[in-house]
Amino acid sequence: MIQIDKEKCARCGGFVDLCPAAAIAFEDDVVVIDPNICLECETCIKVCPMKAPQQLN
Amino acid sequence: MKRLYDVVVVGAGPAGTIAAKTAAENGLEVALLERKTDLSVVRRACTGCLGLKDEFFGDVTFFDDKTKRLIFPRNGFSVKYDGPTHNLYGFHLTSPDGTKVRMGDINAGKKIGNDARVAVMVNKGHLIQGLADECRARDVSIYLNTNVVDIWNEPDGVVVADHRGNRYKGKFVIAADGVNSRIMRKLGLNKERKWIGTYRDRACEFVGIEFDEMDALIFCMGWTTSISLAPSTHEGWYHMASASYDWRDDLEKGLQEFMQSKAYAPWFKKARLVSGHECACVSNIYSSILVPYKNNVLIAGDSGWMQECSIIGAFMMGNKAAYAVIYAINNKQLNKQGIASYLDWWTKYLIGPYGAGGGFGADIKDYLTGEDINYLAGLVQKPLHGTLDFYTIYRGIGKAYSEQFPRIAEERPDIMQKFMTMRGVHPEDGLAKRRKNGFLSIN
Repeated sequence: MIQIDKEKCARCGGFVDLCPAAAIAFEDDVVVIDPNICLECETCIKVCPMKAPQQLN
Repeated sequence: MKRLYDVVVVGAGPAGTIAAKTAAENGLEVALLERKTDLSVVRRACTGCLGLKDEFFGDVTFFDDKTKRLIFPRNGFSVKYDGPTHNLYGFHLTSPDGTKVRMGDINAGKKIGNDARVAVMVNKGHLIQGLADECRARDVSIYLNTNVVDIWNEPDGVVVADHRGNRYKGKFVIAADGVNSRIMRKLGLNKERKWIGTYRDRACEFVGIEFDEMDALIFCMGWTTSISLAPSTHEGWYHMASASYDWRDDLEKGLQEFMQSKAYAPWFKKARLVSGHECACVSNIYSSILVPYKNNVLIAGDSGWMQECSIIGAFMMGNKAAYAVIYAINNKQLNKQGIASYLDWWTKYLIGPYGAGGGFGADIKDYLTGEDINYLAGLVQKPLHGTLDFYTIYRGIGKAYSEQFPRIAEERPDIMQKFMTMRGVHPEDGLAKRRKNGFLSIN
């Protein structure tokens, strides 16, 4: 499961826009991944400038 | 969803807030939708720089410190900004060994003061929050925490839907939802644009940086990532950014490489990171849209422009889009003809002079070594014309270096040969390289 490290996330919204599965959203200015929609393609892990998404598995 | 607004503005950035305010103060019923909750803090990387005095998009922008207004005299409007500012007196390109190509004489400019500044740094969150407050005072319905993910037409208007299924309808929509615009994707308008690549940026604030000529926007060339620096509006802070078009580049490492280098480490002797102020950006970059309109949706700001139209560009677009809608509503022409003034302006003042972009030849990084860049930087001793308009910068540097060709040909024929090779690289090949190092999201 992929989760966003809140300490590292800059909340720029890049993957809210670009997640290939549209699994990432802003909730009260915090970026969250919906595990039910996330395909675990790991694009966000590779591309995030802050290295905020983490694979917990 | 029952209410039919005159215009629904999507995105409360510079383009959206000025559009919403302008429409509302001229009698329109306006909704402004924004996915953030707190507008006073900007988290998507933006230098926060307002270029002044050079013609851009057909206007020449000024900032008046007494009335605290950013003035667009030819477009005929101004924007309030009463937050902290910091003057910039030039733009510097630096080489790995610290040699500078100066556009503007910083020390001379500082002695003169406001009249010599080429740009003013602003706190973008303060700017946007102020405009949002002005919108509220004019009865704009602002919906925060609202991310538009879909858009469609109904007989009486355009509907936008957020990710929770809430819907908003307007006779017109102004899509000011920035880079990676969902609306552009949903309308199929990106099909007409060239995808260029993926831009990634990581910015932070440092305190305690010290070097000569700090009141400039500085681009440092020859490092793994693109390094830029600018003074912050916060007293004593300095803004640093590391960016790349290659998704594999480690942006933090790129910045550290620069900060620990022999030439630049002295700048950071007493410096430390101000934690909690990191900003970032990931965006799919496209060439600019030629016609910023489809089915009563007007496109304003970075949603329709290549990479960045800048804050002042976005203000002009939002203002012009709003007035086009004001005319169309009042003249009861709820169609493309009604807003034609916006399209005409876009063609004449934006695409006409600046083009849509998207043609990239050789990437300097692939041809010139750090040592080559050191040599080239040393050739231009006198400060060039001070400006922060990037089109003027490119022209100024192009001219300065073509004047040096005879000298370069004699002293460094190897570099001259590289220039010839670079000139021969087809724009499509340069584009192919950026695309290869990017990723495209089409959800």
